[in-house]
Amino acid sequence: MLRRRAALIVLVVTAGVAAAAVITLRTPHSYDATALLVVDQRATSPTADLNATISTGELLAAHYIKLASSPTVLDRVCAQAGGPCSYSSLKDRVTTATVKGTDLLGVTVNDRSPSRAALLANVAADQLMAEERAEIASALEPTKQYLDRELTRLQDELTSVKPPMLAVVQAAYNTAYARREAVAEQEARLDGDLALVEGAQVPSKPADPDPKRYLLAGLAVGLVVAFLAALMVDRLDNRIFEAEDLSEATQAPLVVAC
Amino acid sequence: MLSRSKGPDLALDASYTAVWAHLRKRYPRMRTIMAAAASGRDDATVAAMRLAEAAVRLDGSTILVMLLYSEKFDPHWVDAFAVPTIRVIDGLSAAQVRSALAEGNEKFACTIVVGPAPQSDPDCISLALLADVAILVARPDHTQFAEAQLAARLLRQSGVTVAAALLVRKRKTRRVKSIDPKAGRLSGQRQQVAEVRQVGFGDRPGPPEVVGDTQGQTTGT
Repeated sequence: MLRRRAALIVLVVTAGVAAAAVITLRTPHSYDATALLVVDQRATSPTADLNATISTGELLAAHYIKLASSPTVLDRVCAQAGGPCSYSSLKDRVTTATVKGTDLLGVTVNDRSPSRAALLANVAADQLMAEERAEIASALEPTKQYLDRELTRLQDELTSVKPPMLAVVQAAYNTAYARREAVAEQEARLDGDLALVEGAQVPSKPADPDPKRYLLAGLAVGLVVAFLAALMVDRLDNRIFEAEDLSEATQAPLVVAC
Repeated sequence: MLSRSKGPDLALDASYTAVWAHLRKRYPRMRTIMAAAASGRDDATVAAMRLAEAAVRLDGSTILVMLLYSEKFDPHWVDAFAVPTIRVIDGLSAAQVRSALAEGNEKFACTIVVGPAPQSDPDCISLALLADVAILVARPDHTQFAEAQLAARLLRQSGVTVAAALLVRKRKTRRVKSIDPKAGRLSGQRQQVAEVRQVGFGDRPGPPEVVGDTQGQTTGT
């Protein structure tokens, strides 16, 4: 059957490859630029065991992936990058994903212009880190304010109280001071759990269309369609091709292909 | 360098020889064969000529091939057969064939009548009834299954024995190479073909016997 329908198969496969070539030529080029960030989960829980560290890393990565495509971050990216940009136009072109087997996070931006793709990826990475810092500061702010007020109050008391209460107030002051230092240390540590490893470079080759991928897809689709078409045509075609067909048709005692 | 030689089509001859041997064995008293096309788009001439050629080679006898008039008939097919003991008469009407078969002719060991498909010409069936057996000739990639089926059924319903069915691949007609005496070398051009063709009916007054040659000219005798 395949030999009989070779012409049809060749025609359909050629058409599939030709269609892929036309699509490749007609599709506007778009470029992907990726900025790499490292998620340092040890900064969050330095004393945790390995499993806990990995789980924390996964949670943090998921959090950053979500954060990277949030309107807050993308609006800021647009504001900083300038040009025609909005959250709605950017949200489908920004992809954030972990690099498999590593603690790296890639922020990829797709754009028609290679340089703008790199610019947007770098700005998105910066804004993601800024947003993360703002989140940490916002989370620790009430504690910091409370401890600062407490220290001011205890300092005032230290000037007015007399022994034996002076020793008690001094001890309370020292405790509050130590806690305030711990919060400051925690804030500094958390700020470092997301850092830029490698800025996005201007891509030299378009991500789409990829001629090799398109042509292979055209070839594969062409082969499948050609095979199905050949099967269908063969079923509909009731011509005699082999001696067996003639034997079945004529029921002659002797059938010879000459 | 190795190359494929285009020698005589031995496989082709072997197929027809096998068919002829089978027919001879199965129908020893067979004198007349109806070679009918399996469909309106087929032609049994080439198969009949090849079968006649096989018969001549196998039995050493003389064969008469009668071709019913057909618009599809290509005289070049007949010209390509260089067997002197095959007599070919073409362009006959059904009545002429019927008359010839009724009279009989002891000069020929066997007569092959080449006719159209039974479904396209009723004369085919009437002539097949005069023959001992019929063979159907089809072409691969060409003959419709249903048409071949109908042809066989029509012949059987009329009481004709369908002895064989041949699936004939279209091949180029063979060219006869001969020594060109003037040039002293092999000439690829087809020279005079050896068989005698007779237009009209041989035993009655009719057009003169003609010999086909390379230029397509005819010579009266």
